Amino acid sequence: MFVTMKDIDFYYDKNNDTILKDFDLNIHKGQTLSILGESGSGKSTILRLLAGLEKPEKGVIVIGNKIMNNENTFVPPEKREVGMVFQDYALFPHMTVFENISFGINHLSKRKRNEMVMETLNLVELVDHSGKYPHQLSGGQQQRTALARALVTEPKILLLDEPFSNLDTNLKNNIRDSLKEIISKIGITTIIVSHDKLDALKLADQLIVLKEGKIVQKGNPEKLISNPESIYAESILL
Amino acid sequence: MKYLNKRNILLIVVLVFAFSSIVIGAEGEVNLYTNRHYDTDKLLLDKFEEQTGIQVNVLKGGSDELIEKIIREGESTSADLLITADAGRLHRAKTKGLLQPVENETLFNNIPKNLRDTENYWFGLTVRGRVIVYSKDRVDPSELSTYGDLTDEKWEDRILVRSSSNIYNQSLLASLIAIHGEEWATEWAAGVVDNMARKPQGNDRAQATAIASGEGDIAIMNTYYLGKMLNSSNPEEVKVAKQLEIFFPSQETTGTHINVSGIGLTKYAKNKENAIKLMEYFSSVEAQEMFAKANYEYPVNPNVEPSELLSSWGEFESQDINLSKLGENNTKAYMIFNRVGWK
Amino acid sequence: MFKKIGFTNKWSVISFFIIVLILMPSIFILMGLFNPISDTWLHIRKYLLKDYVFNSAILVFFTGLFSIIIGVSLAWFVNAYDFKFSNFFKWGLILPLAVPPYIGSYTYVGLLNYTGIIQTFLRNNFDLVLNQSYFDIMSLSGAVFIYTIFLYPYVFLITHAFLQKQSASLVEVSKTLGKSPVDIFFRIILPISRGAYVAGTTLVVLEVLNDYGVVKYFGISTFSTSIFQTWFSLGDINSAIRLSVYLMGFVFIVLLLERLSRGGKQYSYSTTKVKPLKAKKLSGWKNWLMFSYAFIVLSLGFIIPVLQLIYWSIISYGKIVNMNIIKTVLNSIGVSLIGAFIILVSAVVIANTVRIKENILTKNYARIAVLGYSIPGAVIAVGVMIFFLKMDNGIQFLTGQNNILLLSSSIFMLIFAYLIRFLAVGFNSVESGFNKIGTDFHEASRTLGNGITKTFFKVDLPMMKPALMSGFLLVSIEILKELPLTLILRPFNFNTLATRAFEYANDEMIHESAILSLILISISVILVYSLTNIKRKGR
Repeated sequence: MFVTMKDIDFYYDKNNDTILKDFDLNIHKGQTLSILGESGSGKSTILRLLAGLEKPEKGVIVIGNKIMNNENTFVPPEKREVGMVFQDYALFPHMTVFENISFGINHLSKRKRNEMVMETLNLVELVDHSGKYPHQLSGGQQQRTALARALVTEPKILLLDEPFSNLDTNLKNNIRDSLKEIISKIGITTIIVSHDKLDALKLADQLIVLKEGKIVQKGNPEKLISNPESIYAESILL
Repeated sequence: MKYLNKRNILLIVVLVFAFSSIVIGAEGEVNLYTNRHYDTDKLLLDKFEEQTGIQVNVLKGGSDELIEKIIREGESTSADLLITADAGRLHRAKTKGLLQPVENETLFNNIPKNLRDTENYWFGLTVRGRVIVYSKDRVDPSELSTYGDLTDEKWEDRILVRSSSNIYNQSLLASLIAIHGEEWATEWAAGVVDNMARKPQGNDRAQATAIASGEGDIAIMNTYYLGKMLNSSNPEEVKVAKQLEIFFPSQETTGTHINVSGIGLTKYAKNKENAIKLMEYFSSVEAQEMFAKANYEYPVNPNVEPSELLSSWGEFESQDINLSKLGENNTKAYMIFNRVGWK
Repeated sequence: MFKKIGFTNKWSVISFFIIVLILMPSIFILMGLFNPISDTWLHIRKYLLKDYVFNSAILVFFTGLFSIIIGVSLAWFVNAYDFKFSNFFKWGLILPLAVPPYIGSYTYVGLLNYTGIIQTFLRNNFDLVLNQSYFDIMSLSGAVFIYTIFLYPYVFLITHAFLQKQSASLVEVSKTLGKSPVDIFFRIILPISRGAYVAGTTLVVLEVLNDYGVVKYFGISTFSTSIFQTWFSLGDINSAIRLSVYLMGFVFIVLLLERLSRGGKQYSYSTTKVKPLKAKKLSGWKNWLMFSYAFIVLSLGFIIPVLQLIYWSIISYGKIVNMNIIKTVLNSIGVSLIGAFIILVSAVVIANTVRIKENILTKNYARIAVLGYSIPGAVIAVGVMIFFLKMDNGIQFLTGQNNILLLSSSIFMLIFAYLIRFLAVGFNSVESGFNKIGTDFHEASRTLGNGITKTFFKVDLPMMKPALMSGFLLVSIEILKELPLTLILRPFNFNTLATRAFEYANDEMIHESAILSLILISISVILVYSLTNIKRKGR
């Protein structure tokens, strides 16, 4: 397995509801996993745990043969080599597109850096916009900038948190296709969290349905959608 | 905030230190804690520095605050000299063990015995009286006599005086306690409260002004305030002052209450020699003239004539008590004021 | 949100260090409570305490009330209506904040008393001598006037900023429902801006309770003056501490009332996309009425006092000898900038720690950081002095060098006291800056391989620049005007504009203090103007 989560417990506050309890998750290398669930089901938490933005109460997290979390280990986010695209993109407003993208690799030489940024800009088709500031971009361009910024560091896994929620429907379809293309081009292991079954259908090899921190169903997206096993799954997959 | 890099932060830290080193007094020299803040004092100190090469570092503050600071600093205090505008405070500094006696012929010659501590722990520098100021129009000076007379019912609703939180009132009452005893003083304070023209408010100047505006007819105030008003840059204030006259109370009996601003050498002074030089200088004819003039006060040095204005008020007899009593009785006075409701 | 992320301990170590330092003086103060009760205390309790409580309560209540009336109404008018100079008033009405209340009180006394310009004019031209009680400002009601007219800008400032962001669609919807402007003001604007004006009024109240200059000059006994008097005049530091604890209790009640009045309600939009309200153009008498109201308030709080000071400066110009003005100005500016810098750095370190490592310990950091603003200057002065002398004793012991007061004779003691007193001001600005940028950017940077410190300098700090600048300016203004701490804790040969203006005025040399006051006010005005400029650009 390339990504493993095992026996994960997580809560924000002891007295309140547990978000995840004995949670397990396995992903193969190169696979694209989609997590569907209603809001509050814990799906974003899974991404944050993988990224190291939250620390679980107990459990083991492994990414690419490296233990990220167990009883004695906690690798901070900056050491995990994960790429994450935030729901609102979190583009640094005081930096240009180019600066945003090169931000994660500015330990490299200037030449190397330029080379990699240009390459990524090509990939996401934003070469013409590299000097603009985030507020000068359209929604789709902002999303691609965020994607480029995550990918340029050559992360082991790519985490996408509701990547299309800020876009209108027409745009969504186009962007979904180009995202699919980019992901398959570089063959990166990807996890997409969303509440829209079309995302899963178009992008994912594997789909899980999450309810109150538990996996209620998993499998091939197309099969799953035609065959929901519970009312909840049905309501999510409808 | 691209200026906030490590180098610039370092630079700022260095600047902070450089800035603070400017204001930390250099060693040696002489360190003066004072509650006088007259511009002419600075000229005087400049002259002293010129003549002796001794640098004077000054820390200004309220007398009480400065005394508290010396107490807190203990043996390592940086103060060599303490100047306060009230003998009571100097006495308190003495009883708290903050001062040391100075046996110095120059000082003895320049400062009369009654204006310095019995054991020479402190020396007066300037003298002021706490007197009665009256309206030329509405008061016949023959009506006025003693402090005690102020409780007479003829003064009902006519007396103006500031609040009891002021040290000059406290010292006045302390002197009356020393002369007449606590019981008499309590009755006196209560009697004055009964005769007040209004609730105590404002400073001494405000009392004088209130005579002019007709709120009352007589005011208890320090001599120098009248001097200040006569020389005010506000012509209206000069007009007010010209309607007033000074009366020195209790001339036939116990004498007028006086107070001094004075100086003492601290017990743990690090620059004792320089400090005594400065004390000598302050008592000298040259300094006394300027010192007294700055605040329209009487010089302590008998060889220096009071200013023309002060001479015009005439000579007067002062209370025959040691000024240390003002300090000894201060707390008693304060509590009496509170008890009789002198706000 | 970032609960439990492991991170290098640099930030939490430094924060812990700052917090402990800040707490030390208060600990020394509280230890004084265990000392036995003195006769002086019994005397104070019997004869004086009632007055302190009564006077302080009156001042707080009425100043608070009038500040709300003036602050909220003006904030609403400049937002909702377009009248003569209304754009100027948007920042002009903050100007009274540049006048320290004690300087304001000197000018008003000078203006109104028998020899002042008003009475002189009436007397010399119309032979009118009016009852002096009409002009009596040195009273409780006079103090309420002084505080209100110079402190209402706190309410105005916060309410104005709030209304600008919050009111548009609510007002428009009310209009479509047929509500009159009066209705809208009382049923919509007043309730929704409650959080804002209560926050502003809390600042006003704390300033009133802390003030020393005005009540000292007017001869009104409040907690603040009595703490000084008991400590210094009676030499009874333990009773002074007891009074301080009473005052802290008083402050605590005020803050508790503020919290209760909020009642957990949060009147603010979750969405960030709020369009500003379009001001309604006024004409005719309404235009003039609005203008007159704003102009009268501004005149009372700024124009009249400043004109009076200018007049005094002119008539006393020739008399001023050797004032060393330049050095005093440099001292004032220097200590304000350095103090503000240190306070901002500390605030940023603590706020960042609190934000990143949220646990019981760091939650209390935030509380401790803002505690100092509610402790009166007098109390802080006592604690800081004791603390620094103890540290100096330690240094003497370690170096074997007696007789040297390294720390307590330095400017650091004063700056440290400023840190305790004004950290709250800096911390609130920094915290609101952090809240505004949220945590996403920080997290994004972390997942891109940057540690906390690097993220802080590359991402957090640049994005917070406006918040940091306004915090810096606010703290600078506070330090520039600060009086009691500076009076007591300053080192040798150190005078600021505030202390010298106060000394002159206290020595009844008001004319001489005028020029210093004017310079002080001018610097404050520049700072206030820069502050409003930042706020405007921030939008």
